[in-house]
Amino acid sequence: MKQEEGLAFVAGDLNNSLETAARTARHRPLVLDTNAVVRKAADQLVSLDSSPQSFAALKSEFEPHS
Amino acid sequence: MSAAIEDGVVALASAIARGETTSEAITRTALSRLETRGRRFNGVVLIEAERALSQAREVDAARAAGKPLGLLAGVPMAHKDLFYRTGRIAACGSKIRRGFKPSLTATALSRLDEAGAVDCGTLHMAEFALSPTGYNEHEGHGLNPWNPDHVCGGSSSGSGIAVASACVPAALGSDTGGSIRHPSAMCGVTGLKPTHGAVSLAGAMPLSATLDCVGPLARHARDVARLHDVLAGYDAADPTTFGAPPGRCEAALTGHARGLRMARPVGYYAEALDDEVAAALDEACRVFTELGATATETTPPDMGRINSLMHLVMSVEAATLHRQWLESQPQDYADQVRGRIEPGLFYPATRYVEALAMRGPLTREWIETVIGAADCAILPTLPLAVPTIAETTDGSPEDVAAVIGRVTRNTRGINYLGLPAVALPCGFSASGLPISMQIVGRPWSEPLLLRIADAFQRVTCLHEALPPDLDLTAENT
Repeated sequence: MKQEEGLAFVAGDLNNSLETAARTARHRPLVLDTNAVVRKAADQLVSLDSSPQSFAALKSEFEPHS
Repeated sequence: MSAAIEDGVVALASAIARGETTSEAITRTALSRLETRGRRFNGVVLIEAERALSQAREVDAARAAGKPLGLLAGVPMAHKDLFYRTGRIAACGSKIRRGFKPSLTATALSRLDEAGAVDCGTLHMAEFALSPTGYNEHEGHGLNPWNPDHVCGGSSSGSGIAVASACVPAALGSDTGGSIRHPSAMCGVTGLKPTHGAVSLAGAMPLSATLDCVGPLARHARDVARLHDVLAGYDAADPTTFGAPPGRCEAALTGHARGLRMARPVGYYAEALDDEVAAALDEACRVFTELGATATETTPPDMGRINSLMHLVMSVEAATLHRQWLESQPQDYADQVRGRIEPGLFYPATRYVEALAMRGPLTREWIETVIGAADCAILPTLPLAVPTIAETTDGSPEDVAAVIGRVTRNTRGINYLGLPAVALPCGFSASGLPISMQIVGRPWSEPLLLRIADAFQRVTCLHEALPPDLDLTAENT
């Protein structure tokens, strides 16, 4: 099994739909490219102290007051 | 008639409050226009005439009795078909939800109701809000009132059509990757994508809760300001909302831009730009300079990275919501729509959480590098002239994807960053279609952005242009 086929199989298997995996194999170039871009960015920007609430924290700095 | 639909929300509300016209008369005009030109451009899903006229008569009776009226009292509107109203079908542009009757009313609609607005019905949208052009395989394409061979923009396609063709003075839309700004730009009207969390999402069909925003489309920035003042604020049904001080936007409309500092980002935002779009933006900057503002060039960060993050977050969240239907009835999605959701099934959960963790730092970086010391950034809403329907549907999948990618090039990243943006007309192409700019600001800067848009509109009047072949003179008499 090629790497790309494995990706499609795993995603489809975990989402309980091997048919979805087969159909969505067409998306693998986009998924692999995006995954690589985001992982590289995370290597630089995500650490033990990072939070998925990072945007809410930033917004709170700009909150207007009456 | 003292005020016409194309005069806008504020003018109509004032005329009704002064007794110069009645809500019933204005609403009848709106209903008639929705039935004729609204349907001609395929902008309408459902017209609720009796309901609207009943609301209108209530407003007229309240005024006659000397009761206090709301900010939107008696003004007819219609909205994208994803805002739930108890018992009314909200198909969300889809085949799958064609008969769906929600058991709650969207907070956004409730707030408009409380302000006295009249709800005339529901408007065309892209299937599950997943097309930037107005494409809908089940309901047919939305048509651009300026030229029906061209796309009208989506996914709030009917909202753009109904406002541009003066069926209603304002309409609600939603924006996950540009879905308020695309139809605003392509139909030549003004639209606000607010700061994420400014307006409650409760009762609006979700696509990607992290990116979704609810906002108004209208002809005039001052109308957008009034609507945002009514819509914004904390809602217990949507805990991501924030209780901003009320009435900030309309009060901020001074008509002045003197002393404001505007950033004009180059690099990514100057690349792949059609000449006539660049020229229109140059002219807009010249107008702002005449108004006393200054413009400074800045350089954006890696937008390819931000666009990738937006795609990942959107597709993962959408795939989560659609997974069961993707498995059980994939044939009921248009291929183009399904193809935008399915990649979300593949990304590891670690990538998704990383994308959320980077959102704050990358938004800060964008603000610092693009806006910098300025008050806002000005950039093209679309880098290209409004494409034809054929350009976005015919040809190879690669060609179609390339055009659609250009349509969303300058909008989708702003949703990942969660920043507010106002799209407004800044010119016309050689073929007579609107060209639009977007003014982007720091979180919660809607009052400033709308002040700038309003100041521009007071001296340019581009937003007052109407599409050809609309015989308003005859209809207004």
